[in-house]
Amino acid sequence: MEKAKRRCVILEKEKILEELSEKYGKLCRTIAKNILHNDEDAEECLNDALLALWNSDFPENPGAWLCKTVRNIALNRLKYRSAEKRGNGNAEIALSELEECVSAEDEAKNCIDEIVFRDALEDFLRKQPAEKRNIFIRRYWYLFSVSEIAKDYGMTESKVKSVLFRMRNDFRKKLEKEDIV
Amino acid sequence: MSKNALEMMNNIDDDMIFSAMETPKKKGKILSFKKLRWTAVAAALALIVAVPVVAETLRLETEYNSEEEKWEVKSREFVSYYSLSEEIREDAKNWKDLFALGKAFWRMEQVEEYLGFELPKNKYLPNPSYFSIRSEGKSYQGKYWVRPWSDPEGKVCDITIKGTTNGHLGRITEITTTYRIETAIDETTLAGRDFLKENRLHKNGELETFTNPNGIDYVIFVKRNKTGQGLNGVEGYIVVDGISITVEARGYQPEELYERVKTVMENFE
Repeated sequence: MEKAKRRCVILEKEKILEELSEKYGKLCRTIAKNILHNDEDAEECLNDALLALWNSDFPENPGAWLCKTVRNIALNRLKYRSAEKRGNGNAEIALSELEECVSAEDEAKNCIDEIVFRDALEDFLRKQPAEKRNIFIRRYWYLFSVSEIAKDYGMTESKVKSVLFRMRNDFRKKLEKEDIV
Repeated sequence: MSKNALEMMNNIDDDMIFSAMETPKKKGKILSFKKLRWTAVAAALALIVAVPVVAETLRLETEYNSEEEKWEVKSREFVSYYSLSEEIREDAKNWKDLFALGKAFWRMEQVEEYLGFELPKNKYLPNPSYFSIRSEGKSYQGKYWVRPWSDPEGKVCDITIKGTTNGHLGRITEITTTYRIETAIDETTLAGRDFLKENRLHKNGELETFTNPNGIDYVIFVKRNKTGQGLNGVEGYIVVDGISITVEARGYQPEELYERVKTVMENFE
C-alpha cells in the first residue's frame, strides 16, 4: 500500500515536471544560454534545475522557481568557468553595469539588508513605465544582449543603452537618497 | 561579478520577471537613412499613382481636366458596366489593359444608352496629333489613335479607340454615318501580304470571318507581341461590327488568346 502510494506520488511528480519542462523549458534554456552561450551547458542547467525541483518540496510558483534556479545554476557555472580567467561575456558585462549602482561587494555586505535592497529595487521598477521596466529586467535578469533587446523592441542599440544608463543612474540616486548605499 | 548585483536581481518579483518576457509592442522598423530615402521615393511614386486614381474617382460626377481624361473615366465605368461575365472579369485581370478588353464588347447602342443621348452624327473629328491613318484605300503603318466621335455640345462622348498597331498594316476603308471604322489588312501591298502570312492563325490561310450564334460577324487576328516587354506578350485585333479593336494580353500564347477571344465572341450578343 505504501509502495503504491509512493509510486503515485512519483508518477504525479513526473507529470508535473514534464509539464513544467514543456512550458518553461524554452525560456529556461534561453536564460541559461544568455549567460553561458552554449546550448549543451544550457540544457545541463535546465536538467540540474529540474532535478533540484524533483528533490524539493514543490514551491508555490514552480515556473518562477525553475527560471530563477536555472539562472543561478548558470551564473554559478559561469563563475566557475571564469575563476581562472575573467570573462568578457554578455553576462559579465551586464552585471558589471549593475555594479555601477550597487557598488562593490564589500560595501554591499556592509549595508546589506537583502530585503531592503529587494524592496528598493521592486519599488523602483514598479514606478517605471512597463517598457523601461521590461528592458531593465531583460537586460539584468535574463541577461539578454543589448542588440537582442533593441531588435525585440524596435529600437536602436544606443537607445536601449541610453534607457539602461538612465535607469541605473536613477536607481543609484534612489539608493543614495534612501541611504541604502 | 558582484554577488550583490546577482542577489539584487535574483529577488525581484516573479510577475515582473514573466511580464518582461511578454512580446513587446514593436514601434515599427527602424529605417536607416538609405532605406528612408528609398521609402520616400516609393511613397512619392505611390502618391503620384494614387492621387490621380483618387482624383479620378472623385471627379466621376464632377469635372474633368480634359476631354480625354473625362472619356478615360467614363470608358472605365462603361467597361465595368458592360463586362459580360465573371469569367471575363477574371480574364481581364490578365489583360494588360482592361480598357482594351472592354472595347471588345461595346456596341454603339450600348454606348448611347450608357451616355443617355444619341451620338452626334456626321461629326467625325479626328485628333491630328494622335491620328495617323490614311484613308481612300491607302495603307498606313504605325501607331494610331482614333477618336471618331465628339459631342458638339461638349458633353461626354469623345470616344477613343486606342490601339497600337506597331508595324501592322491597315487602312480605313469606310467611315459610315454611324461612325464605324473598318480596319482591315490591305492585301494589295507587300507588307500587308507579309503580315497575313506571318500572323494569321487561320487554317486556310485566309482572313476568316466568323458569325456567332447571335448573328454578329467578327474577325480575329492574333500575333505574338514583338514589342511587348513581357514574355508571352500577345496582341491582335478583333473586328466586330465594323469596329476594330486592339487586344493585348500577357501570359498567353497566341493560340490561347485566339481561342479565348473566339469563345467570348461566340457568346457575344
